[in-house]
Amino acid sequence: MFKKEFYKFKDIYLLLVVLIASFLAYLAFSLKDMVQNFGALSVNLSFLFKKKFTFFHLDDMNLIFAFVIAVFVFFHERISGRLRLSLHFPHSSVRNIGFIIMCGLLFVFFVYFVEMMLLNIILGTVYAKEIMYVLNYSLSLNYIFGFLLYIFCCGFIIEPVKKRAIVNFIVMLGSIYLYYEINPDIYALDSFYANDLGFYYMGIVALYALSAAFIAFDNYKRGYIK
Amino acid sequence: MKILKIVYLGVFILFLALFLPRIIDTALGEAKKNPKVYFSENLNQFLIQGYDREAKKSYFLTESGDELSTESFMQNLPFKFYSYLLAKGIFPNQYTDWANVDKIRANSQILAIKPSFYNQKSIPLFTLLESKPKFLKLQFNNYGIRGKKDRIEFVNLETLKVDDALSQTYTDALKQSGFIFPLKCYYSNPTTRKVFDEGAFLQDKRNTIFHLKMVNGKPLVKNTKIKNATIKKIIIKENQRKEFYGALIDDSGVKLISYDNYKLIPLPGSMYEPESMVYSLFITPLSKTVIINMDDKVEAYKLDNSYQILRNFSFPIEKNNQWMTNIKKYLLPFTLKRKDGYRYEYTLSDFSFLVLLANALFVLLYFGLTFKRKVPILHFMIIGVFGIYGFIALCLY
Amino acid sequence: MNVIECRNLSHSFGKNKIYEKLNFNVPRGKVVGLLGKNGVGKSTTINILMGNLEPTSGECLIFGENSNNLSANTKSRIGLLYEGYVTYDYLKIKDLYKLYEKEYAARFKKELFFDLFKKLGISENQKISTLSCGQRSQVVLGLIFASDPDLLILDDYSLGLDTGYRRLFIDYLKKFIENKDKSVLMTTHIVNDLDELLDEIIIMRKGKEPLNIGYKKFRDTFRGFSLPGNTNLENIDGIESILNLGDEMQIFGFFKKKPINAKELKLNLEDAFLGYTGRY
Repeated sequence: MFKKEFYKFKDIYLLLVVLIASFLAYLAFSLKDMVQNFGALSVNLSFLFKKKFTFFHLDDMNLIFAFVIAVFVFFHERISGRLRLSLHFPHSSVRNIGFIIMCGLLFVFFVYFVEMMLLNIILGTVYAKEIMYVLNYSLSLNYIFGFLLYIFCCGFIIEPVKKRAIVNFIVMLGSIYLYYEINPDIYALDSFYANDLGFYYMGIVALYALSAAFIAFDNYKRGYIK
Repeated sequence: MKILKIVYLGVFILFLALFLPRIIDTALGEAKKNPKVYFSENLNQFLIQGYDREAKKSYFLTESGDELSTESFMQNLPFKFYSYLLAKGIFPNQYTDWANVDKIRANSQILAIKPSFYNQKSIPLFTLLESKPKFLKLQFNNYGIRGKKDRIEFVNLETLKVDDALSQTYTDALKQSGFIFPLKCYYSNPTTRKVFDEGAFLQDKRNTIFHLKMVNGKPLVKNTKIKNATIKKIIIKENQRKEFYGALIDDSGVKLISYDNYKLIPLPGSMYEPESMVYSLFITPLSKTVIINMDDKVEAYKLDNSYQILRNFSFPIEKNNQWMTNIKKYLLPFTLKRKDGYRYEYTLSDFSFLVLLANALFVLLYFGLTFKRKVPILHFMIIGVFGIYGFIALCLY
Repeated sequence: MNVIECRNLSHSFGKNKIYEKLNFNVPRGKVVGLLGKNGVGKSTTINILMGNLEPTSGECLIFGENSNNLSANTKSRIGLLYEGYVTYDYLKIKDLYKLYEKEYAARFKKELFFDLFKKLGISENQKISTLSCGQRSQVVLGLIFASDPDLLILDDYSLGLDTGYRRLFIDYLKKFIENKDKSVLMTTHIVNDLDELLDEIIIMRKGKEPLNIGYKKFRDTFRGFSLPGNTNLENIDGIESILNLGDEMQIFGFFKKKPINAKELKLNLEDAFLGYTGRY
């Protein structure tokens, strides 16, 4: 069953993991360069007083990663109506649907988890813990939004009613816009704590994304449309 | 599933309440006008500088409405454009005593409090500069300072190791001055691009402000006796005039913290909202003025030497498209708006009862569209309450 | 005992009514053919039965449970073949096999799969997407057989298959149902293959009551006659369709007696099916 899910996105997953690893390596080498050239003190101070820090688009990459994996997961179910097969496995529909959603999400989570560990090791040797808190907070929101984008994809790929699929897609675009207002890269933040309420907003977006996903599956089950 | 559908619709309505007004503003709105007001010592009146977007040129006015040329505007603000006027040799004759750049600079000061600066919440890690640097040039030392439950901690930002001895020395110094831990907040001006350093102002558990400096590596702590539970921010701005350390903003407005034993000097502007307005104190050799820039007007105060109001002036900022505001009032039952502040906090605002007619029309329209279908009464109730938002949400659902 | 019971099934897509109050049963141990021309609602019915479509009204019970909300246990007793042999094409055969083996662990009979699979002469490591339509169909059918369902629902099993693969499938199906404890509901457009296989047939026609009849009875009672072109048909009862060939006229239906001047036609299942539904 895991293979059935993993093989949907195996190639792109590996490609994206390599890309993320490259972004991570670039960030690590850039930081090393900065420390060597200006010293850790200057690196810390310029973070504190000038918000001089960038993830070098690693945060964008994380979102793209979750989105692309989700597209592969759900399109593979949608093509030729394979979802009909998946729903017929001898388990409850909730379990069958849950498996489809959670499996890919677990693979995304694994990458995020490893990335966060590595980032904490890399950045934690240079930045004070107060700065690490800001970075981890921003990253956590980034990861959560990645998960939400994943769920959103379900809402517009599985949804058989075109009108609703389009609405879900537009709401997803709107959420991306808001996300970048609330949690852009560190250097672009209006204030370090601009995203203070980020988790609440993520909660609201999660409510929508999850309802849209469940409604999409329910609609699909109630009226299979090719 | 019913609950999910309600949640789905609810969030979608919020989404519309956020984006629809933004779309209307973007499509029909006009750019923000930012006229500037200055006090002219020559004319003894306020002057206005603005930009006419239609004519695509700047305009200059006196407070009585007379137009000025650019040259005349500059000549009437000799302590603003002194470099230019002195270089061209057209500095006003009546101020020959002041016809010196260094002299004017030494007696001038600007303290501007912008929302972009005010709306910041700092990382709980600050630094102290050596106030008497060995080679005179200010520079950062290696330490970041964090407040703990019962002490402050000096952490070496090169190695991230805590310097226990230094931490203990400063903690003891603070305690001996009556500081009660934990540290609630710190305020400082962390830049080396200043002539001298006045250290940091620390707020203790009981909201008393202490002044901490590092002098020859040793702590110098003074209890300012300022005790205020409503402090929003203290802005430290070292200036060679050495009249005040900076400004304290609390619930009642802006006050200067003077060098005279930390005495607070209240400044005008009770309507000042630091989250969204720009507050500026301009001090020239001959005048003191406070200018508050708001969305709909600019308030200006001419002060005497002891910061008492001599006269004030208000310049209204007209908006051309009032009709757009009306459209919103009659169409949108409320909007989801970002509140001013350091964080993105959205609130429901601009509630309007004038939309009742539009809501009723949307209910009728929806009835017409769904005439042949069996539609739950809840749908009509949703449109009745949420108007256009509910209508769009239900039509697209 | 019926394994499938459809009661008063009606379905419409928007304003387009597919059928109304359709009733039919599939008894245990029987092979039932659901036949009909394109667009009469065969696939709609199959989708309802498979739980992928909620009927506008009425209900379908499979093993006594509503088809739209089957329990895990009941799902494990049903083998579904979707039109076009829908499966996880991106998997290798061995991965697909392992998936079914795991999902249907309690019932899985691997010998049934390998028996069929060996005949294809392909490697287990091949991706499904690289197989020909025939090979793919046998892999899918092999897995369905191996999961040992009590009820097989086959939607157009013959689509894209050549005679050899169709025959191979029919042979396996016959073997699969030989103990008379399995039930099958199937649709196909190549009805002749089903001769001797079907126990009952349901023929759907647009806007008319479906015909639910025993296969043998249908073959025995449904007849076709050739008549001179100018014959008056008003006095002949039981006509279902007429085929006018100029000088000759062919009539099809359930006739109590042979019409005057008529010459009986020899009908195979396809002829009889077309005779009942009308050719065009």
